[in-house]
Amino acid sequence: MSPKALDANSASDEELVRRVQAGKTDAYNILVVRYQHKVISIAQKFVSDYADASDIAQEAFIKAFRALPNFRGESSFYTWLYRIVTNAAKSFLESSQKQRSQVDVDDEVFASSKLPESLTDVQTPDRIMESEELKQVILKAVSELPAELREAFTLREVEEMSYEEIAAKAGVPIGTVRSRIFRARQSIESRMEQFRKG
Amino acid sequence: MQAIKDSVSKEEILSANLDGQCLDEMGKISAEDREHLENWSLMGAALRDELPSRTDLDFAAKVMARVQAPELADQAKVEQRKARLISFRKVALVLGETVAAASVCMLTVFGYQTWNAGDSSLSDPVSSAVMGPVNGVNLASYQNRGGSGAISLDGSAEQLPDGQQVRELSAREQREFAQKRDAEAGRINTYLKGYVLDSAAN
Repeated sequence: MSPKALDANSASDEELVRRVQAGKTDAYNILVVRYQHKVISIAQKFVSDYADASDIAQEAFIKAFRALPNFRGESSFYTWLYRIVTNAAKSFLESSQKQRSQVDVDDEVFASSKLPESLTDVQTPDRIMESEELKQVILKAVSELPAELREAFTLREVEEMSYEEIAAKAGVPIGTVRSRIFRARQSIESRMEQFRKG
Repeated sequence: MQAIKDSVSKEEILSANLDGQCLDEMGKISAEDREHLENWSLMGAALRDELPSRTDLDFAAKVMARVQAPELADQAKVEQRKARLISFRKVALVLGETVAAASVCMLTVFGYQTWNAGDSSLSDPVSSAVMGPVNGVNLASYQNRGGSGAISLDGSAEQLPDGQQVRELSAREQREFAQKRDAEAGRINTYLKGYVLDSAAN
């Protein structure tokens, strides 16, 4: 990723942050969607369990949202968010170590006891899937895109170029870049839907 | 901008929003929009090899549900503040009542002492000792029953012979009455000023 691409992303992050600070909560949805996978991956470096990593990531996003009014933009949003995630992960580890030491005392009793149904997670995680399979579906769908769509899409997603930079590189108007990226996403999304439906 | 909105679909603007473009045209994000955003973010993460071991397609929806919950929490805070204000008001009311009661008590004590105080000219050593005359004047002399300076509120009625009606005051009498009233007011003021200065000196 080029420093220029980083600047382009940071600039749009700053704009989204300003909007959230101005009370437009939906702008935060874009930031969450943009960084959720990175954040969960960071959390997974601390805890191996996906559910724990997901909880840590959720907590980090909630903490970040609450602290956002005080965010002055001295560092990039992602750098700031990264610190929040690592702190949330450390806190999680500390509290789970404490819990473990408390549980160890009555380990046998705990193991034999059956938790009431109301205390267990009754929500079926049917919308949680293995990433590897999904990744292969996405990569295949990208490789089958028409060349102009694939170029615009990969320049945006891999190189993280801004629309202006892609337009300059491809020699097309910005509107065309926007349209190509959107059509690429639509195409890949339909392939993902097919995969999910099995 | 309007031209973009007219010619481009809402979904295309949402796709641009994800890339930090067309943010001025960003609308309210629906559940369907959220689904698209989830899918589109997955694509980018897969290409950049950023995907964690598993993928929760409802992650952002869960976060946003919690993000919007603080509005309720804020409401709760407002309610808490209101409750605190109400209890503060209750305390203030009790304090106010206590202060009022204390004031009444002080006035009663002050009034009682004044009632029992004597004028130096009336040679009442006990009451004079309590309050003492100020500048030769003692307001208590007004209240000393039987004293020459005592005010008899219904005295004039007693003095009227049976069947005689109270007549209206003439203009001269009214002037004299006003002069006397002013003189008495001056006397009272002198007493009060002297009492305050005397108390301060003590």
